[in-house]
Amino acid sequence: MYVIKSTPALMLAVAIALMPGMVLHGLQFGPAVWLQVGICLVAALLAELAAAFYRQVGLVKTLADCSWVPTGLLLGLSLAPLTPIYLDLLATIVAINLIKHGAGGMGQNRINPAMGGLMVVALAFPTLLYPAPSAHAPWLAQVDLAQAWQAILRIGPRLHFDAMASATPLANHYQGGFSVHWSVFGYLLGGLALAALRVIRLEIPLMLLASCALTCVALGESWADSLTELLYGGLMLAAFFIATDPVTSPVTFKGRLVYAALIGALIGTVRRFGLYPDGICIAVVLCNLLVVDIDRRMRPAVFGNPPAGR
Amino acid sequence: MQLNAEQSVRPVLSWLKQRVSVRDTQIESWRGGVHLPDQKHLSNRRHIRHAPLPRMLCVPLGWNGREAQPVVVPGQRVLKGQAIASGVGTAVWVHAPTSGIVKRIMPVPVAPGTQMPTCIVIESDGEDEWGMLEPLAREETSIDTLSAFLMQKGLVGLGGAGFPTGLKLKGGDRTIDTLVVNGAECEPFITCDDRLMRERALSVLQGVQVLANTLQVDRVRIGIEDNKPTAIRRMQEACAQIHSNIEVVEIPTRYPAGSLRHLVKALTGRTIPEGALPAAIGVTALNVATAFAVGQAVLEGRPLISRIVTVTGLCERPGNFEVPIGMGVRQLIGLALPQPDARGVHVGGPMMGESLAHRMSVVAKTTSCLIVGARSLLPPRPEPTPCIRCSRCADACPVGLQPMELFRASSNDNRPLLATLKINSCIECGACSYVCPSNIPLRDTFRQQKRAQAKR
Ligand code: SF4
Ligand code: SF4
Repeated sequence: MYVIKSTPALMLAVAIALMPGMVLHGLQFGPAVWLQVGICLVAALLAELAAAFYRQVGLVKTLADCSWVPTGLLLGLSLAPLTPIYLDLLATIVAINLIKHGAGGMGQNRINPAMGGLMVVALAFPTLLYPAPSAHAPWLAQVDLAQAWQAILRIGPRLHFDAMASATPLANHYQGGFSVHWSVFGYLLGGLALAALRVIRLEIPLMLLASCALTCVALGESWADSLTELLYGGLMLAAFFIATDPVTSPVTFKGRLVYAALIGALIGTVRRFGLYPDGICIAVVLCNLLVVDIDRRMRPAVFGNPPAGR
Repeated sequence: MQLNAEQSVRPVLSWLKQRVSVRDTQIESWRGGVHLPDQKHLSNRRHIRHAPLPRMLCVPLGWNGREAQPVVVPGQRVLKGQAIASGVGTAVWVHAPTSGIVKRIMPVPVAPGTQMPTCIVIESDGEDEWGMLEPLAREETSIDTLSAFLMQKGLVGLGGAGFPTGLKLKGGDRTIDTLVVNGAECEPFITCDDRLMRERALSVLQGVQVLANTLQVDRVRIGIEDNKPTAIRRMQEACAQIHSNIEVVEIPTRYPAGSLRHLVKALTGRTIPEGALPAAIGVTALNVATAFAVGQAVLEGRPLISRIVTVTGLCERPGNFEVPIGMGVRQLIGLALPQPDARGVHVGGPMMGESLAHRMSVVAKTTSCLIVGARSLLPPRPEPTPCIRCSRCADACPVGLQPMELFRASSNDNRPLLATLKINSCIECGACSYVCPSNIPLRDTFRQQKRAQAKR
């Protein structure tokens, strides 16, 4: 029935499915991407070790659920390359120590750790985050590893290219016009593979993308623009890898449709009107908080019982 | 041959539907359930063999506190089929499985070994001499008469919990218009009903007809899972042979297709309301082996003194045995030649059954299957990890419960929430535990929770 039968294997499957997108992202934007992902992954491991230590739960038990791997990867891929290292660490600590272990460990958190961590950093330190060079800028690929290190450690001269005010890869409002992100295709591929293996539920990304495009149209964009919008930034990443996190999404089919439609609509709206370019992480976190109510209202009827009131 | 478009698209559609977790309620009469590796091939290839008479038989007088009163004393000689305990109230009568001397009356563990009802110990004299057999006079067809007769012949449901068949027939006030016969046998490993239908199809149908005539139903449907094509064919042939209008219905193989509510739903389209008996919707349901035993009792006067038990797993000669009630489980297993390194025995199916808790247990009327080598065939699940709300359990639950929520509520012993979530509708089928990637013992938790609530 299910190819992937254990929880750690599910976590690792998500991590592996992220690879095609990550590799394409790295090829397009150079070593800075790899550095970012590497740092977040190591930080996630350290945060997990720390949690095992101060919560006094077994080290092996904590690490063995493997949930820190996708969290680390997702943080690395959604924070802007060349973000100062202390913000990377802060985001990871918020994600793993506060959001996940603070709630009692894997499965207990109500908001997606990576998105929560990202949101705190984005809201609290916009000035530190946003002047970071844009991930969309083609010159990023020319930054070599040494330069990238200097930039994230904030030592040595500030990298000053014609950095346009922009944000993390999850955001898309930059002035440079449309350039296809190769990673979009990788995420799509990985996401579809996860759906085929029944690790994620396909209805979430499909509904999210559809709702996002429709919202953009409803808000006055042209169809062409709205559909192109789907190929931007991390929308595909969010649709297939973030909104589908089972821990923080509803447990019924109808619930998942509502949840995904809400996220899609919020992303569309925030992108159109919002102050925060990081529409995605805010949309996801908000809808995560609605999940408990969605679940309560959408309980299916029980066999032999009258349809459930609630 | 022309392949029609719909046929070629259907598998693709159903594959897709699984991925987006839409349930196909049009071809399925109920939602959820799981496909299990059925392991039936181990034991369904050999004919039913008669277990040789053991020297000692410990015949249980009942279970769950429902016990018959002994009417024999130690030292007395009894004949095969002679009543040795009389039913009072809801207990059925008990009969000697062979002729011999009553040795003792004492508590003995009964498979799976969690209960020790009083048993009458009979030492066989090897003669296997029948006592008088009194069939039911054929003209007599009132439900009350049949019901009392079946109580006297010791008839209980052979498929599951062993509810007295006589009581089941009495039912309620509503007229019964449909008889549902359960030949689904949806648990893996078990093949006793399969072999019974293959080898004694006519006798099964005779029993069914007796019931149908007495209950005066309009419709009789026998549901058999489609993983038993031979049994289906034999039963259909037998129906044609006796020109009966009994319908043999092939149902898709999906656990728990043999659950009472699900089979009734699949065969009649009616839903048994929660907390009600099938009689409430005009249905009586029983198992094929029970129907066979009813036929034997009514037409030949034979009381229920033996049953077919599947002995399977790590054995040289697994298969089905006609076993006298009260035979030692270990002796029975010996007949299938267990492999020397086989460890552990499981009683019943792997999903609903339990492991053998007492080596000296005896076969009861409800013992359907013994799985030898359970320790390697049905290894315990690894340590549970936290729930990740993947909702596989909810997709698998055949009654539409939300096991992940039930589990959380059980852990907090939140009774009001458990009631809202309808924990009492749980049929303890274990489909949820089976699919859980975190190895959470969901079913066992619910079972304990229900028992704890019932106690209070
Ligand atoms: S199958 Fe297990 S892990 Fe998944 S939701 Fe159910 S209880 Fe949780
Ligand atoms: S054991 Fe209960 S909760 Fe679990 S699948 Fe079966 S009926 Fe549903």
